[in-house]
Amino acid sequence: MSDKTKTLKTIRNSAIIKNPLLFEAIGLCSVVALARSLKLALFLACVTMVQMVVCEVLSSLLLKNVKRYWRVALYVIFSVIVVFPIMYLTIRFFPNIAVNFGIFLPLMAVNSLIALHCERVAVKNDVKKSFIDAVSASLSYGVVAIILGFLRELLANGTIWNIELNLPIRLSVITTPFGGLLIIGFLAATLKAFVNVKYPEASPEKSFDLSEIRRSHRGSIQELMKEDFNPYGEGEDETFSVREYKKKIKKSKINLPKEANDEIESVETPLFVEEKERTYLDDFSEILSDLENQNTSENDGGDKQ
Amino acid sequence: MNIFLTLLSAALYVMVFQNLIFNGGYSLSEAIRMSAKPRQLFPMAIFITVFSTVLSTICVFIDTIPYVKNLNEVFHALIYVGVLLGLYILTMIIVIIYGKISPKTIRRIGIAAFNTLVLAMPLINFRSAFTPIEAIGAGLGAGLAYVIAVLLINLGLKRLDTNKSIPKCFKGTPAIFIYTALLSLAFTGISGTSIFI
Repeated sequence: MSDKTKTLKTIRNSAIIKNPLLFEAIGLCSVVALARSLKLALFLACVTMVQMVVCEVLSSLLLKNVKRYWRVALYVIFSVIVVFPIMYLTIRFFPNIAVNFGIFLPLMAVNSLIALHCERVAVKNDVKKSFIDAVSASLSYGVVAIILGFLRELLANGTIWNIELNLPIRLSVITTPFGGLLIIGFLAATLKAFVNVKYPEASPEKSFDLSEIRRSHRGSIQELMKEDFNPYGEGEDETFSVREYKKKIKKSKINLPKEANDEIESVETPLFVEEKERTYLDDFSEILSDLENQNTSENDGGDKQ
Repeated sequence: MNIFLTLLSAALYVMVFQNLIFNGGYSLSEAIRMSAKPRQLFPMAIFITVFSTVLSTICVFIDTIPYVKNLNEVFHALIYVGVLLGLYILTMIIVIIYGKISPKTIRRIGIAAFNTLVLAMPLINFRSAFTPIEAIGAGLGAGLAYVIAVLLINLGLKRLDTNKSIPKCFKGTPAIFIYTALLSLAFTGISGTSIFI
C-alpha cells in the first residue's frame, strides 16, 4: 500500500469512521456547551485545531521518553500554552465572544480529545503522522461543531450568523445541553447510516466496550481498585515511557526467529493498523463457533432438566 | 449547624438543582464512558471528589489574597490550572514514594484530575463568589453529581443494549446521546430554567 493511500485511509478512519465526537463521544463538554451559534462554533473549531496541532506535534517531538503519568500533566501544560494567549486576546479584541465562552475557554486546557489523541497517536508516531492525525481529527470535530452551531442558532434564534430569517417557531431549549446532545444523537445516527452504506467493510459496531454494563458497581474499594481500567483503550502500562515499552517488547522477542521479529516490527500503532479483509474462512469459523455454543447451551439445558 | 446547612445547600446546588454534568455539560464524555464500566464508579468518584474538593478549597483561599483578587479572569484561570497541576504532581510524588500503588490506580488519578468537572469548580466558585464552606460543599457535590450521572446513564445503557426495536443506525452511541439528552432535559426541569420562551 502506497504512502498516499495509507494517509488517506488514516484520515478516513480518524475523521469519518471513528469521528471523535459522533462515534467515540470524546470532547463533548466544549461542543455541547459552546456550539450554540455558528460564530461560536467556528471559533471553537479554530481553537481546537490550533491546540490539537501544537499539542500533538510537541508531544511527538518531546514526550517519547517521558513516563506516562508525567505525560498527562505535560499535555495540559501544552494546552495552556495555546489556550491562555487565545483567551487573553479574545477578551481584549472580541469581548462578546469571550462573554459567550464564559468559563469554557480555560476548560479547553483539559479537553479529553487532546490528551487521548496525544496518547494514542502522537507519542507513538513521528511528527508527520501526528500532524496528519491532529488535522484530520480536529477538522472532523470542528465540522460537527459547526453543523451543530448552525442548527442550534437556526432553531433557537431563527438566525444564521446573526442574520434574521423570520422563522415562525423558535425553540430556545435547543441552546441547553439537552438540545446539543439531541442534535449530536441525530448527527451520530446519520453518520452511522452513511458509514454503513459507504464503507460497509470498515463499519465498526460499537465505539466502546459494553460487555461490563451489567456488572454491579458495589464491592469493597480494595476489590474495585484491582479491576482493569482502560476506558479509552489506550494500551500499555502507566509506568513506562514509550521508549521503555518498545525496549521491553524487543527484549521479549529476542528468541523468536527473524521473520517473526520482522513481523512484530511491522505492526503499527492502533490508528495505523490496516484493516484485514474478511475471508470465507472467517465466516466458516464463526458459524462453527456459533454451532458449538448452541450445542453446549442445549446440553447444559438438558442436564439441568 | 449553620456551617452544615451551608455545606449541604452548596452540595445540593451543584448536585441536583444545577447538576454540573447534565445542566452544564462538564465531564459528559467521562460520565458516558464510565457508565459502561460500573465497577469503576466508586474508585473514580472518590478521586474526582477528592480533587474537586481540595482544588476548590485551595483556590477559594488563594482568591482572598489581595494581589490575586485584583487580577483579571485569565490569570485567575491560569492560577487554578497551576494549582491543579501542582496537586496532581504532589499526588504522583506521594504515590511514587509510597510505591505500592498499581498502574491502574495511577491511570485513574490522571483521568480524575484532568477533567472539566474538577477544573470547573474553582471557576464556578470565583464567578459565584462562594465562601470557603460553600466551596467545600460544591466540591463534594461535584463528586456526587458524577455518581448520579454515571448511575443514571448506566441504567439507560442496560436497557438500550437489549432493546431490539431501536433502528440499526441509532444503536450504540447515537441512542446513548439521545438518552443522555433526555436526562439533561429532566435536570433542566429541576433547575427551573424556562425552556419555551
